[in-house]
Amino acid sequence: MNKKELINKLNKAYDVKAENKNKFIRKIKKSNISLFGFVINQAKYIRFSLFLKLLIFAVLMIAAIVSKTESQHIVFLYSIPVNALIFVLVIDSSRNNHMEELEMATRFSLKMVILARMFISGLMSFVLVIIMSVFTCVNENMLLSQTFYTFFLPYFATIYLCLKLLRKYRDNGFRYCLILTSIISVLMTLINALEINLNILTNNLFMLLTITIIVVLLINEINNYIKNTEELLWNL
Amino acid sequence: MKLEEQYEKIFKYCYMKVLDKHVAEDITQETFLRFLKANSYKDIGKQMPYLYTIARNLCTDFFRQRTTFELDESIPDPKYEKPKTYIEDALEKLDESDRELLFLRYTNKESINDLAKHYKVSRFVINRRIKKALERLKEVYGDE
Repeated sequence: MNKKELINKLNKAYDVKAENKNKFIRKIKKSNISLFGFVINQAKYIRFSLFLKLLIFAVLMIAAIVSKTESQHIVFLYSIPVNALIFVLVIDSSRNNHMEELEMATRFSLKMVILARMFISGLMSFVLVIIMSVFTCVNENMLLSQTFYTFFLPYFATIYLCLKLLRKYRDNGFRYCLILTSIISVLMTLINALEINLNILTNNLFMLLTITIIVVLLINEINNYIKNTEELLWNL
Repeated sequence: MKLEEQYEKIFKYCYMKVLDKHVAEDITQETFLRFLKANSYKDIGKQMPYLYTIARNLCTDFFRQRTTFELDESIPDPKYEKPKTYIEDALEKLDESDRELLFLRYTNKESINDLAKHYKVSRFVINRRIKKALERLKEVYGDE
């Protein structure tokens, strides 16, 4: 037998068909949906009432700006924690509606689903805070870094603490979040009302450091929150 | 390379090793799952040598765990679900390394480059090994 014939026979050796090939491949094959498509798709799973709340929020904010009241920034300060709480509700919606187990079983992981929803609602929430900061900066004759610090610090702190509360007190967590949000709102307005001179607003390094710390804590908390949800469901 | 083609190749490779269709399919699926655990889905096509390595290790584990028992020669071996061809019979008489090399090169039609990556040797060494393995197969086949 010559080499060509031998190779020909080798080509046809072990000619067996896999029985469960298609079934298995369907399981592991990635969806054709793009990342952008996936994110937009998740918008359908965010309750319409949330968008409505953010819209009402935006309308009140615009009303405060247009009315040119002197206490415009107080309205903003009071509402920042509420804005943050609305955002937290989106992150917690899976657990709140007992959908986390189903979402974990989908093609996209629970982490991706939560991150996509965070992106959509966070973007709107974030833009509102930026607009408030810019208007306050203009009206109160403050530096932009100072107004960013004044608004984003309580914003991130509220999100961080609310997530921590929801993670620790799963059933009563939302009640505690409402209490916390009210406390932070009152605290912000009290600081403003009492005209407490916060020299920290003149220290750029201090502002940068505290904002960085709170952002790092927040990212860590979001990660723990997602991990905690998965562990509880898997009984780890 | 499409995922279906890769699956077929790994499945045939596992079948060549274990000679049991169901076990080969289990090992094939486990290979892809282990690969996806460590890598993203889109890397599959670029990492055939890695898939072969995982499959080979899983086949080795299978042989280690399997308990052996003596079979009566008159009873047909149940693990063969299809009759062996002469070429398969001849391949089994070769050393495992020769059998694997010829299988990968001619049955699974892997390129010399990929084989060189898989065995971590040069193309020249692979070509020489294939040539020698073919000569040995010819000798064995000639005796049949």
